[in-house]
Amino acid sequence: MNVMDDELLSPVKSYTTRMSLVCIITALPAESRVFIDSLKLKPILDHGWRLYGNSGHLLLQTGLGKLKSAAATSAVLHLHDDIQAVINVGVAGGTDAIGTQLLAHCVVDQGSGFSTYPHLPPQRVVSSLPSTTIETLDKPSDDYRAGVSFDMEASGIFSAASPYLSSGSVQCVKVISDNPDAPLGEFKKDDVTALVSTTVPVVNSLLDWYAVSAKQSSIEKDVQHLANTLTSKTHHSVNDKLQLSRLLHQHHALSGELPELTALPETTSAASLRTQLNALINEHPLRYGDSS
Amino acid sequence: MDTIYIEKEVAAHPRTLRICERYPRARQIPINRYSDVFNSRTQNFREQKANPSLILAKKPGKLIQATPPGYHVGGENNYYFSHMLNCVYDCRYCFLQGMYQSANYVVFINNEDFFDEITRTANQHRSASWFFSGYDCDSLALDPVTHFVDDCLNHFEKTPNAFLELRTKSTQIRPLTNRSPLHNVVVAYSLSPAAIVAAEEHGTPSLEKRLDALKTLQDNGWQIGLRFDPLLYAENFEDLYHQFFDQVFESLDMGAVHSVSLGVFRLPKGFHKKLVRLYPDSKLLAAPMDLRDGLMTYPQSEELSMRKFCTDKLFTAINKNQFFPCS
Repeated sequence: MNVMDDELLSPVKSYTTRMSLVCIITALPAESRVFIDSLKLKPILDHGWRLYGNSGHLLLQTGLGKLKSAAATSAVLHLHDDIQAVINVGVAGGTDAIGTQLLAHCVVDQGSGFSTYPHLPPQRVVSSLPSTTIETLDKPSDDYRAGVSFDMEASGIFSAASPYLSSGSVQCVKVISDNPDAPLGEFKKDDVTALVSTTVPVVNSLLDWYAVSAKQSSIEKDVQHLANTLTSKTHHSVNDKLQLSRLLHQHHALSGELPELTALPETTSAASLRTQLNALINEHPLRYGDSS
Repeated sequence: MDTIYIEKEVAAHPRTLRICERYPRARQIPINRYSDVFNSRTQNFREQKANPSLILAKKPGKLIQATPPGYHVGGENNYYFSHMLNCVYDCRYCFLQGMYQSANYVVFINNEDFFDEITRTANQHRSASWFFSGYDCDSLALDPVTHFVDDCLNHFEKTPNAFLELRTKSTQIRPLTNRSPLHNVVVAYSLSPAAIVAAEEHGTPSLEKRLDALKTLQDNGWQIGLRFDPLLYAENFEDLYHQFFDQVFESLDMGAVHSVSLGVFRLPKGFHKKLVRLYPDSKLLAAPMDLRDGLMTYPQSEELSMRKFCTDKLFTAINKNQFFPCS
């Protein structure tokens, strides 16, 4: 990583309150460089992780191997709860031609045999990219098999992301770097950047797709923002917070909008705030049809 | 259909091949067991509903189940079966959203195994048995893809001691209108007021279209059933349902309707909790609800009043022996 200390920005928390993030995860600096350049990402100081970002995207460079990829993915998802999706991008071995881009439809951990099936995006989003099984190995191998491509990180990333993200929010795009005709021994590391560069259009399309999905669910953020504002003024237990969030959603469901802060004068307890909110909700009875 | 997962065991089955031919551009992904994909715990039903995949599989184990108590239309022996899991429609009140992790459609292609078990089960009883289809799916909605109904009707035609209910909201009735009606088959439609269809039954045919389909079936001699379930609470409930029932009564020969059932919105507590998590801004989930006998439903006084209003209205058009209220 060629990052000068004076380039380092403040911790990523400065980004995290702005909008949903999609995190690209790579293993190697040569893979990272492609997205750092194309998305104009800046380095971020964050607990020593190789992390870069802009207002809508993060890039995490994990290092080689599934243990490193799992540890880094888990840590970053734990620290940044506004990450909405992750995309693992990198090179892989397989039987397809060098430079073939593939979307993982199944990720298998070779060690445990455990398989994960990401819920795939529509084909239009990924330009009808062919899909494949990605098998994550502990050591590099040239035991190429039809229908399976090899990498060393994907299963670690999928496994670490599963407590945080749904199966549709973790995708893996790989580009073939070695195959039986050009096995791993002949692979030149200098080629990595050129190979991974070819994935930029499909990764950008995925980023756009996730951004649109995030906008569609933005009411959740508005509710949480209002809930945070209200709970900062009055003590709320975890259960109180859940009830408050539910009432705010109910108000939105029935009236089409969230209550104005001015309609909720400061109260001394969570219960009295709920009473106020219930009174507001009762002003909007549940009706269906033209007569509503 | 963008993605089709195919169990390796059924990959060469003629039904699998026919369905795949229908979607030549779909990704085809081989799998060992449908549950590997369908039951994975990290899925998000709401996300998947926007872009569901199809899973072609062989249904293992017991294919016919006894219905829950109270689920019948007058028969003594009642069973249900599901040739498919999940529904192409997106009704906000649907219990499938609470029951399954996945919104993908599973289509079981071993139809003959279902039919063999139906025959075996029916032959265990002296009196006729009822078999309900459409419990975990819509019976007709995906039929242009599965062609299940034709096979099913062929089987019931040869099994007079077994009765079939096809439960649906779909207007895909060609497999029925293309043939003579069967005495032991009832086509039952779930109906709701037009405003509720528009607000809560996303992607379904309008009330008008469903009534047209029912009328066509009735005109063709098929027995029809009406399922007013779930009734949904609204402040303007009586206006909504009064107009709705009038529209239904005007469209159909009510005296010839095989059976009518009615039930208010109810969901097991866990399913309701999941629904609230998936759709916190759903209007119907903003209604007042109580937990009673493990079910989230409307307060008892509200439920009784909704039931009474609808029952009174129904009895202006049907006889008591046509009526089977859901508990």
